[in-house]
Amino acid sequence: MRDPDSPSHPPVSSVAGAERLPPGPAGGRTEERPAPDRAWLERVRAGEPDALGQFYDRYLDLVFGLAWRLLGERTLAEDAASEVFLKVHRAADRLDPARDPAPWLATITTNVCRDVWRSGQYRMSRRAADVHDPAAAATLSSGRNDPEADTLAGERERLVQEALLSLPVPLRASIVLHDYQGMDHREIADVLHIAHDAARKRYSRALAALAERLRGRR
Amino acid sequence: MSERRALPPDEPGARPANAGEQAARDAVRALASPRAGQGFRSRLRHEFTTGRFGRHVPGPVPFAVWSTRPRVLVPLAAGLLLVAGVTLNRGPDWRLVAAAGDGSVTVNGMRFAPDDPALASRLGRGGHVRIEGGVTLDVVAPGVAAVTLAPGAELRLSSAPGRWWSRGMRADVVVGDAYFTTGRAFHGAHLDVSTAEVNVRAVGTAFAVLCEPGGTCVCVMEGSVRVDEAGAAHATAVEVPEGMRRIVHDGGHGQTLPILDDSVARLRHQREVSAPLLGR
Repeated sequence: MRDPDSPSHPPVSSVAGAERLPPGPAGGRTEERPAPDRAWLERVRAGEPDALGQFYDRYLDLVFGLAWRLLGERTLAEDAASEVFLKVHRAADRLDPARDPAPWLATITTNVCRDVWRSGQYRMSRRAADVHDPAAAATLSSGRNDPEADTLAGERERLVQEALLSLPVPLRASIVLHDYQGMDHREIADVLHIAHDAARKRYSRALAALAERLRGRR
Repeated sequence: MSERRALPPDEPGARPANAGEQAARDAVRALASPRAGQGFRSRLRHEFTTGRFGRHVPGPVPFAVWSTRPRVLVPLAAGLLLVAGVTLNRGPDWRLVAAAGDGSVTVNGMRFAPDDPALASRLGRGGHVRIEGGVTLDVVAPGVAAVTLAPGAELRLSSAPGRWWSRGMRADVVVGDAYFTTGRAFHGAHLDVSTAEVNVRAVGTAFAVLCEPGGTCVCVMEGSVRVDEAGAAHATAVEVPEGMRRIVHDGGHGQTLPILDDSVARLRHQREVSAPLLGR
């Protein structure tokens, strides 16, 4: 089992499906994107500023979005993203250019969020989804220039995010990693350091709990 | 553009069990990909590409303060408790009750006239005290013990016993006569007095140690003390009861005799002088 805090690159088995990329706007997953170029990742590994910049541009939204969904607050997500990229920068020389870094980054992000969950400050400051924040709402806009649709979508986002945040942390992580981030249960088991079978069972429990909470909020 | 991946296929045992769960899953899958604010993106990009994270390395670092706080606070609290404990445990300072007669008193090498107000403060935690001339010095650690030094006496006096631990008090008589009376708060403590010839241990009593060039006399007016010959190769402890005195000559020979009237008188006088502060 890997050290959860060590941003070493994951084994090949854990990056299955890495070529299936990426989502479209507002959660869509409509197009395939080619796997990262090996030469480019070699330059990232060497710490070349241009390559690092491209790496950042490509993966920031993955890290930030996942952190947001796991933590439920913009400032916490920003802090977590900063921590993730700090870890990545320090461990860039351990990057394996033969593998897609996305699952690796998801693992680091989840571990960083786990540290945040364990902190007393998180428990004290935890509040409902941050979509009430105008700045946050702007980032969630569909881009359709349809204020009514955006309002409805924002309200739906708020309900779902609140329901997610009301789940116990292990259940929340399970469902966000699977249904938001698109990781399979074997990958999730690796990230959460549990057995594959346990990951599936946890997901089932998470889904049932989320359905129950959403039923109560509609 | 986000790196959210295509959704994985359902696995047995991890499928929605009903329409509610299906709807919940679809709702999560439809969640938008939040984007960080432009200012944050730019700042973090600069930090990541330059490696200069120093100015603002947030993230769990502020939260980690919580996890590191106990590592800082626990030793700090322990240190404060220790300091508070040591401070509170400290026994009372010696207080000058009377310094009568002509001559001087030297405390830790500094000479004072008997009526010099600075003498009292210099005696606070004990020290090396030498009486010159005809001065008689009475000091009291309130509630704990009284010590009287006759003219010509010289001794090293420790501070008074602690309240809860370090309950020992010590006096090394170099020469001359010293009188000791313990008070009510001395209970549970012990007083060790040594001369060239004897070591005396008392646990609540009134006694005198008269240290002469040829030997030492320990006179017990009240209670009892144990007298050991200093440097003896074998056990020589002698219990000296109330009303008796033990004389140990510098050759090691010792004898026990009735206490001298003069010693009794001086110890009674000491008690009268110190009684209000001793609580006896």
